[in-house]
Amino acid sequence: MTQTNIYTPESQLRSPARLARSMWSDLKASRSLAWRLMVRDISARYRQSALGILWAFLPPLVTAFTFVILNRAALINVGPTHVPYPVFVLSGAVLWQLFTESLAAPLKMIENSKSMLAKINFPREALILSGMGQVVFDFAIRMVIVLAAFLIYRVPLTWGLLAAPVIALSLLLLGTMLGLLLTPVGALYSDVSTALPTITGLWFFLTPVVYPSPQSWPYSLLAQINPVSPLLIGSRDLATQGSIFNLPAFLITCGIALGGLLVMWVFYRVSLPILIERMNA
Amino acid sequence: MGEPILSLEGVSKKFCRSLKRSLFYGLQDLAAEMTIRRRERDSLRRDEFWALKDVSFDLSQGETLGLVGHNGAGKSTLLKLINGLIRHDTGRISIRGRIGALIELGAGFHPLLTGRENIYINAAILGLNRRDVDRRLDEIIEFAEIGEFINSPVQSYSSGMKVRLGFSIAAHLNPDILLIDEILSVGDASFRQRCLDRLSEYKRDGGTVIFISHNSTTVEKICDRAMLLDHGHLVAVGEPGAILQQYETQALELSFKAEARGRRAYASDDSGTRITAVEYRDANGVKTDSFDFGESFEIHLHYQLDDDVQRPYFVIGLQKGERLNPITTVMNMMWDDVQLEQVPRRGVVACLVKNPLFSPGVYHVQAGIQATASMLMGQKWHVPTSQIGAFTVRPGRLRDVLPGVGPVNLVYQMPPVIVEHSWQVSGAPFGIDASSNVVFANGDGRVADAASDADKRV
Repeated sequence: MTQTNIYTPESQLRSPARLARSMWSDLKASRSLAWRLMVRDISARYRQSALGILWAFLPPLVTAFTFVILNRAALINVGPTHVPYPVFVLSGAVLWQLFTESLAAPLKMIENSKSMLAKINFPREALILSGMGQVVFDFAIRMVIVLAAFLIYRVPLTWGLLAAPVIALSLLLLGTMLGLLLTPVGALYSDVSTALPTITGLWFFLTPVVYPSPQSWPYSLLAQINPVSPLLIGSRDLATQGSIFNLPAFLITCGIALGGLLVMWVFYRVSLPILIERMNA
Repeated sequence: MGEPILSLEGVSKKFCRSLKRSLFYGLQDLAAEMTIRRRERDSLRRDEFWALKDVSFDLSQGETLGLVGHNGAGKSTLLKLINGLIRHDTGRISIRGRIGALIELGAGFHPLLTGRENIYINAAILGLNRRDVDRRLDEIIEFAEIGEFINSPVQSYSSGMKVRLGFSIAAHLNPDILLIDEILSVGDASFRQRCLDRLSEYKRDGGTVIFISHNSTTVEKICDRAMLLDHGHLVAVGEPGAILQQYETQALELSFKAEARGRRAYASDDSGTRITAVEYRDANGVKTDSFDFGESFEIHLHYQLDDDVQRPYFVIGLQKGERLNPITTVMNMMWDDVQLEQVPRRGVVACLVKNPLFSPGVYHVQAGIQATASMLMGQKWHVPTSQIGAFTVRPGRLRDVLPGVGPVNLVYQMPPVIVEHSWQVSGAPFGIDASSNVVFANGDGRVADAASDADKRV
C-alpha cells in the first residue's frame, strides 16, 4: 500500500511536520494542474472577446492618459519626475495593477472553483499558482506598452529595465500574501469581495503611483507605512533610472512579503476544509 | 488481507441549518483551527444538527459497499469526509491508498473550450498526468462516443455528451478506493451499461468501491455489502438484499405516513363507498405484514358501501417494489365470477392467497370496488383503486417451496413472479413434480389469464 491517510478532527497545526510534508508534496503535484488551469482561463478569456489582448493594455493606458491630461491641464500638480510624466505614470499604473490583480486573484479563483473544490480533492495550491500565473501573463503583456512608452519618450534604456519585471514580482508576492489573508473570511462573507474595489481605489491614491514619493512629513508616511510603496517605487526606479534607491526598505518589505506568504499558505490550507463545508456549492 | 483499507471509528459531522449562523460558526471554527484550540465538538451549537452521528465501519480491499438511504441521510457527506474535502467533528478515519472520486463528472470543464482541450484540464484536476492522457486520448474520445464534436466547444454539447466525456476521462483513473455518488443515473441506457461494465472491470482488478445509488437493482448487482443510513445514523450494514428491503420498508412507511395525513384531510366525512383499511393474516391466522417466502396468506379489506351500491366486486392489485413499477398481479372478484348479493354496508372481505410464489421484497397493495348502482339503471361505476398498504415477503429458498428445485437462494432482485414449471427433453418429463405446465403465483389459472388484461384496466 502506497500511503496511509488518517483524518482526525484535531487542528492540522497540531502536527506541523505532517502538514509541511503534505504542503510540499501538494505544491509539487499542483504545478501541472496550475498550468492547465492557467491556460484554460487565459484562452477562454480571449476566445470570447472581440478585442482580445487589447483589454490587457487598456486599463493602465486609460489611467495613465487620465493623469497625463490632468497634469498637463494643471488640474493636479505632481511635481517634477525623473522621467517624462507619461512614462512615469504608465509604469506606475502597470505595477499598481500587478499588485491589485494579485490581491484579488486568490479569492476570485476560490469563488470560480467552488463546485470543483466541494467535489474533488485536487492539490489546492494549484488554484493559487494558476491565479498568480494569470496575473504574471497580463503583466508580461503590459510590459510591451511600457517598453513602447520608453522608446517614444526616448528614455534611456538601462539594464535595470530588463531586471525590473523580475523585481516587480515582489508586488505579486505581497499581493498574493494579502489576498490569501482575505480569502478565508472572503470565502464566507461576500462583503470582502464587494469591498475590495473600494479599498484598492482608495489605496491607489495612498500609494505613489501617479505622483513621486512625497518627502515632507507627514505625507512621507505614505511611502513608509504603505507596504506597496517601497516595492512599487523600487521597481519603477530600477526600470527608469537603473537602480533601486530605497534598497533597505525594499528588501525588508520583500522579506516580509515572502515570509508572510509562507504563513498565509499554511493559513489557506488549514482553512479550506472549513470553508468548503460552509460554501454553497 | 487482514487490515481494512478504509476504517471509520465513531465519525460524526454536524451541519448548520441557518446560513447566517453557519457563516459565523465558520469564523469560529477558523479561529479555533488557527489558534490550535480544542473546540467543543461533541455538542451542537444553536441551529446545528448531526449530519452524521457515530458512524463506524471497515472496508476491506476489493469490497464494494453500497450506501442507501433517503435524501439527507448523510450519504454524500460521508463520501466527502472520506475524500478529505471536509473535516469531521469527532472520530477517526484512516485510509490506506489513493482515493478517487466520481462525484462530479467533467469537473472544471470550460464551456468555451473544445472537448479535446477540456480532456486535458479535467484529467489534470483528477490527477492524471499529461503523458497518460496523450496515450489514452483516442480511447477516451472513442469511449465517450462524441465523434467530431471533440473539436467543438463543450457548450455546444448535450448534457449527455458532457457526462459521457466526463466519465470516459474518469474511467481512466486507477485509485485504490473509488467513491461514486449517483453519477450512473445520468446518460442513456447503453452508456449506463458501459459504465457498469467498466466498474466491474475495476472491481475484478481488485478495486474497492463505495457507491451511492437510489437504483436498488444496481446496488444489488454490484455491491458486496450495503449500508443503510437514516438521519445521519448508521442503521444497518449487511447483505445488499436484506438492507435494500429494510430501506424500502422504511421508505414505504414514510410515504404512508404522508399519504395517511393527506387522506385524513381529504376524507373528513366518513361517508362514501371505499376501502377503509387493509390487514393481512398469515397461514395461522395471525395478523402480520410480513410472510415467509411461499407462505399462504389472507388479505382483509375493510370496506363501507353507500346504500345504492348493489353487487360490489372487490379488486386487489399487488405491485412489487417501487410505485412506478408495473402491477405484478391482480385479484378481481368479477373475473373470478364471484357475485355478492345482499352485502352488509360495512364489513370485511378476505382474499386467500394460496401458495404464492412472490419473490422476496416489498409489495404495495392497491384495492378498489367495482359496483353497479341500481339508481343508475345498472350502469357500472368504479371506486378507483388506491394504494392502501404494503406487505413484505421474507427471503427464502425456492426448494423449500417447490420440492425438487435446485439449491437456489432467492435474493432480492428476482423476477416479480416465479412460476411453477417443469422441463421436458425428448418428451420425457423430469425434475420437479408438477402436473401443470404453467401456474401463476396466485395458484389459479383463471385469474392468471385475466392478469394480463388487468394491467391495461387498472
